[in-house]
Amino acid sequence: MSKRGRLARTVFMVIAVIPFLYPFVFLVGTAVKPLTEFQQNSISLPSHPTLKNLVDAWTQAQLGPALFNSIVAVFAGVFLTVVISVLGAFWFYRHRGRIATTVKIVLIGTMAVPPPVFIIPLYVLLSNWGLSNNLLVLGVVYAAWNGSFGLYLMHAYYVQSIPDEVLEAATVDGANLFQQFYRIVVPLSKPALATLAALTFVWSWGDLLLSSVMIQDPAHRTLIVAAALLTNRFNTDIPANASAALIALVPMLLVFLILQRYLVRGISLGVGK
Amino acid sequence: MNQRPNVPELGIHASPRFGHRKALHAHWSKSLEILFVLPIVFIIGIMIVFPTASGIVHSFTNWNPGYGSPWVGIGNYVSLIKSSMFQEILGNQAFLLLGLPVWTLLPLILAVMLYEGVPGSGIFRSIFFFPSTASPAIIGILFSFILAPTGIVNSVLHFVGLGSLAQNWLVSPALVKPVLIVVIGWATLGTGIVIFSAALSAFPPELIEASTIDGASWGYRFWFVILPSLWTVIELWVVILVVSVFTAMFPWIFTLTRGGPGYASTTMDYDIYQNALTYGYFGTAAAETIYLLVILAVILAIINWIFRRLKGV
Repeated sequence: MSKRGRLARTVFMVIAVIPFLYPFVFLVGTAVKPLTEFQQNSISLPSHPTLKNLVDAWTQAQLGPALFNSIVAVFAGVFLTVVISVLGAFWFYRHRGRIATTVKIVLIGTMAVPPPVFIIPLYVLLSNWGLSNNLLVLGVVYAAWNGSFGLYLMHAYYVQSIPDEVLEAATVDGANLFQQFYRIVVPLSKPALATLAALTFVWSWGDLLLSSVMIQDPAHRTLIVAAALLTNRFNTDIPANASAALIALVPMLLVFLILQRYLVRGISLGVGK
Repeated sequence: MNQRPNVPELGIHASPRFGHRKALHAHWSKSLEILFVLPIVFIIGIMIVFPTASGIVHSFTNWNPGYGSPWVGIGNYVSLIKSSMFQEILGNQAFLLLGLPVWTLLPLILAVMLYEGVPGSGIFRSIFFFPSTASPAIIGILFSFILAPTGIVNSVLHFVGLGSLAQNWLVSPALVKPVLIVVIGWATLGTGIVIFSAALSAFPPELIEASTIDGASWGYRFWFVILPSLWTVIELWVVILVVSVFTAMFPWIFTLTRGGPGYASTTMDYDIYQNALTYGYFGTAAAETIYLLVILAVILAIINWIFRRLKGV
């Protein structure tokens, strides 16, 4: 292809990327800008950068405890999602009877049930059992929400990459399902597991709906909910809000930089939520 | 499977542990196998299948959690459809769907350009992709500053002498929905690029080369060579977008507009949340979720029909 075309495309890309970078520059710039300076000029670079906004957001808005809450709920959610998906997918890979297939289709089919549909009845159910405001229960909710996708992903992976013959051979040799799972399937699953864990992390960490419904007690709020509640149109201290948003964004940026490969792979599989 | 595979070569036969445990545990380990599948069945069953069924049943009641839930038949459905607020909300959903062509074409064009070769294409792709993986709630907060009366957009307009065009973007009933379309386009672009890039990487290069040699223009190539061979992945992307417009607007609305001004930007998923948790109308919220599912199913069926025609199947 022509050199001129390549140059034109490059120039176009450089321009196209500005609206995707600048908002983040603005976010950082605003977070370190004193409020009075922001009110005079919101787009200039900060002339007297300060960490006061960030410190205030961290202490007054209780973002420290909120960060801890997010870590508890999301790590529980990712761990449980991975465990139930792998175990379930392997069982369905080895059991292909009519009942098993029907159950598998129902479980994977719950991908078609979006959170707005199940969250209100689920909230009623769990509060009746005294299980709302519980971060570990929120983790279980994340696992239920992502488990259908996890089951689909892992099952497709097993169908594609673990030949029946390998497991048949192990069966003939007397290896039971536990041994086959532990010795053969888990070691072979690692790439798909990384993809599932990365996607589940990103979706759960970024979740607002499920956590704001399941957690009503301010002391148990997750980071995203705390940041979102801080920001509303009655709160005009934008530098303070920008600091909160920045604090909530940093862990996602770190995870993105480390796991981007797996996120791209997961989304490229032609599946998304 | 009649023929036994060549087991020793697979290295499994060599393990002594498989054989010697067999006699001892064969029977109970067989019945314990169910343990593999019980966790996911229980968790999805209790957390999703049961609540969904409960929501369907309670949509026919005046649902009052903790108190009685008297049967009202289709009362919730009738009062919803008669309510002018709900009609406005349905209108909002329809309006947002107008973003579909833009939300699809932009990432497709960018993916094609990256595919055709740009130095550092991986970096460009990452910059587009990051906002897609970040939390919509955080991106919503960020855009609430950008679109605030004193935010970037208005400041830039003043700076370049177009101050008369400055608007209160999120408070104007006429502008709020177009603005949401732009924000969602911004936030979904990167995922679209990743999906289209994956499809393009499987694209036969001879096709493009042939049309280049023929002297076909870029636009011709895009419309008549690339686009028609990507209908399947475009359909997938459109389905993802439509599902998102009906089920994943909550974080955007919550952080940007709270459904306002009035109900001008309220979406169904945000209204379900409001009805149940702000007003305590659990029965209405339940009926609204059923409306949502039915409308979504109808739209997805229409999309499927359209793409079947485009693909000429």
